[in-house]
Amino acid sequence: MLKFMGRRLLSLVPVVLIISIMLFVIMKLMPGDPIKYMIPPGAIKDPQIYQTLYNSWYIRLGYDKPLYIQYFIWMGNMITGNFGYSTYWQQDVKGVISQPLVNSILINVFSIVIAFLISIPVGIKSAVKKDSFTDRGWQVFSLIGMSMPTFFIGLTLIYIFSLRLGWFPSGGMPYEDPGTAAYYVSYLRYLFLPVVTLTLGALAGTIRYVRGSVLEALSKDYIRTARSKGLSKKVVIYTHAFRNALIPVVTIMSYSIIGLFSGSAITEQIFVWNGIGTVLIKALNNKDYNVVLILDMFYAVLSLLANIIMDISYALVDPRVKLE
Amino acid sequence: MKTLKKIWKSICEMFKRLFVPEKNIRSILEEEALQSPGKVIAKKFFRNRLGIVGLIGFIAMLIFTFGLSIFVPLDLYRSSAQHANLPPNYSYLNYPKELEKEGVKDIDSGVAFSIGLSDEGNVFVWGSNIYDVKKIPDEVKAANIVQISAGTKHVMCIDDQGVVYLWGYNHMEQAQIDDRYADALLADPIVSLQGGYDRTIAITESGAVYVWGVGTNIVGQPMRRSPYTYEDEFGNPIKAVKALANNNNLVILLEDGTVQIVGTSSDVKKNIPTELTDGTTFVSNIALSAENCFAVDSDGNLYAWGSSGKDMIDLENNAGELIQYIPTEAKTNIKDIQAGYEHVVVLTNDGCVYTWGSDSLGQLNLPDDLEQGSIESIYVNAYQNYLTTEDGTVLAWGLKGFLLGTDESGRDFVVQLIHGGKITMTVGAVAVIISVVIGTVIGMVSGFFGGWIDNILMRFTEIVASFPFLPFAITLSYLLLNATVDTSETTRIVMIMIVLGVLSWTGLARLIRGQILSERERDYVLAARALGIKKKHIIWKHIFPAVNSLVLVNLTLGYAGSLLTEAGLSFLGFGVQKPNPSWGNILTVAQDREVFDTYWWRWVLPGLCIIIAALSINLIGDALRDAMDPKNNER
Repeated sequence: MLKFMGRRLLSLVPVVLIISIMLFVIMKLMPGDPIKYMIPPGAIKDPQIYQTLYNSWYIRLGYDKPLYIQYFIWMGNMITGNFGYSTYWQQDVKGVISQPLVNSILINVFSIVIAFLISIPVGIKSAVKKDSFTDRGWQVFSLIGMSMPTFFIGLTLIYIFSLRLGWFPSGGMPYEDPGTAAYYVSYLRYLFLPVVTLTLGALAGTIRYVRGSVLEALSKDYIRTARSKGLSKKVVIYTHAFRNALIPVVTIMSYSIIGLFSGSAITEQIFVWNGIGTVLIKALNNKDYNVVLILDMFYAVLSLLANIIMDISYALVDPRVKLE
Repeated sequence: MKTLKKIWKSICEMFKRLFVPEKNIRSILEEEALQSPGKVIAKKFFRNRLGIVGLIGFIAMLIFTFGLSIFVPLDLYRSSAQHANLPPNYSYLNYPKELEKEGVKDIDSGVAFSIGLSDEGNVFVWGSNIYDVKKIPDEVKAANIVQISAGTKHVMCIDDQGVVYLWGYNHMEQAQIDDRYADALLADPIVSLQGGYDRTIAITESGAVYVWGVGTNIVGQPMRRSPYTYEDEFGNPIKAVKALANNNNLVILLEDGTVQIVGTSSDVKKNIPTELTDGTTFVSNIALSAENCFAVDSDGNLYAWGSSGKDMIDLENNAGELIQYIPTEAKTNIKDIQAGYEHVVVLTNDGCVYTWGSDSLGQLNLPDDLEQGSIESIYVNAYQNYLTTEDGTVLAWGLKGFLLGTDESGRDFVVQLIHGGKITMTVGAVAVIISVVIGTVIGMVSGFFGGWIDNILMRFTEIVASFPFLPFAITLSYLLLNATVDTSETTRIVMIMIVLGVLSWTGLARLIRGQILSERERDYVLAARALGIKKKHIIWKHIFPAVNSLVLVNLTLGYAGSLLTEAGLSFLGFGVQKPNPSWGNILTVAQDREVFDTYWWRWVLPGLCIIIAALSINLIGDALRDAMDPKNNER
């Protein structure tokens, strides 16, 4: 097992390298002169002083060196945890993204957990009672949910629960002092609607998927064998069918982690939630490419890791998968 | 000997069967009533009710977007501030039947509604209820009203006791008596009221003209100085008979037949014919549109002047030729003339109506059942027109309303939705086709050839698949939208399609590769190989059909997905860029809290469009999948 994990992690290295090179090239292609954003506009009137300052930044940021050396410097900095300087926020990138990262992880983890807590039992129920009234209801629900853009779900929720009923804030972050009890209560209130939005967005797909895989498992021969042995329905479903249905569910779980994380940018934008999606969009619009680069790298590494987690959990739930 | 012959014959037959496909064998298959797979799929598909619903929905959406876009052109740069943010309503011309029954005394129109006064002194308001204009105050219902008028968004009445009632849009206090003039108006009561866009114009008993509302309160505004009074050379007051205002000028007709124009130095003020001001011609009626003015003298002859850009006055082109916009019949013998914002209607003494000007909102479309020669009176303002015939029936034409409301520039929202849908559906379709083509090619090459090609392609797929979709799509489209030299609208849209397509093919490639690998090991492929069928033939005739259905189902379901993705990207501002509409970027305004809260149709309707389109496509995809899977009759 450990050997497998090690090998799998090692295989990541070339992929990460290639992605980082591609991203680096993309960032180099981006329009605009980042140094101009380092020096506050209009701060220095004298063109000569401006030019010397510009040149000093030019050398300090390493723009005088050839591209591949710039890449190696950047990569070295990345590995040692030096993510560079954000021109828009005027501070280290680390400081810019650390709090949003926590915020993003929170809403995503919450909604993934809730989505699976709901969709696994619902999916099993629907599959077992196929074509029943509740099954049809959930089918319709998931079809509509799949056809609904997340931002529209979010907007509708804001309109109903925030503007009309006034139960939850329409967006933003809590303004209380961090650390106090009031802050956490308020944080949860602000958290609620984005989490519901993400959960609803994820639910539609996962319910369908769980239902499908349970149905598939139920049609297998070993289920018939188990039934003919006279096992109770519960045992058949929860030990025989569900375990086998779990295999594809594990796949979609890892996919939905990636999907949610990258898709939550839209939800964060609607709810003005200070997450990495919002930061990414703000950074792009303000040509703060250091931040964009790091965030894209983060997303890529996250999805690679999710793939590895998927492989490992495959091995855990499916005895047929051989690791060697 | 006979048996030997028989055996020989049967051996021959055997070999023949082995190597030469015989015709009579095929005919047996034909007798089995085989159906082509396509037919089976179609049959199964059409037996699925949900699939039919999806198909109908999708076709409806296609007709709505691509079909209607042929008939409804998109004018990206049209804007009409008066019509901004009007709610869905299509009843601007639906005058109440009671009004017709009681007899029409007067009708006046605002931007989205009309107000009518019956001979019995009852007031009716119809159309859109913007700023509560339809909430007629109880005092008005009780009183015997003798005069009505409408501004763009407010209305005014006077009853037989001389009491004035105003209601509607009051952001510049146009719907109340101005404090500055309250005392003066108490001493010199109002005898007639006139709406002049977002202003109220009052003529008093002594013939003075007061104007208040938008722009009359601000220092330096030309209409600030009320009251306007006029005297002859002996110091005797000359009463004002009629006063009209647009956003630039106040035009006053005096009882001595001269016209006075106050306000900015517009074409209306500059180009007025001198005979109208010096008293040589006695003017009996005036009409004022947004940029033109019209006068009728006591003999019924027309004078028109003002801006030359609105197709409302005759003018000479560069070659010195006269371009005639005003119908010749409408130049003389005029009984009444009334102007909307961009058009004019003339009623002649022989009971005929003539109209000209801009036809932007259908205000020139005279009704088909109009009988020229029998018209009694006309009531025109804004974009709505009414007339009564000699037997008292009312006819209406012009702006019927906006079925789905308007946007912030006053453009019809239906048009926005139609053309936005066209772009969204096209972008989604092209993107999904790009992704399916890449995915199929890579998946098939990988699956068929195997070995090092497979290895390289699959590593490549893995790398692309690990790109998180939305952040990369945002980054890439930002790069392509900003860094490309050619920034024409079409290039940008093509860029979006490519970004979406290039980022989303990996799943399909893996699926197809897996499918081909597993099909290759199936017994029927083995059988085909044993029969000596060529490899090429096996690939195309045996394996490909199995992948075929996968591709088609993925194409459909992926289409719904890419519709949603385009909408999301455009919503964030990284997709289709304004002024080109797409369902996603129309929805961007929902981030503006005022629009979100008040102008619900501007985000609910495009959202519904996206949902309907995506839902229909998903239903079709589901039905297709069920129909194409021969093993699956239940899922």
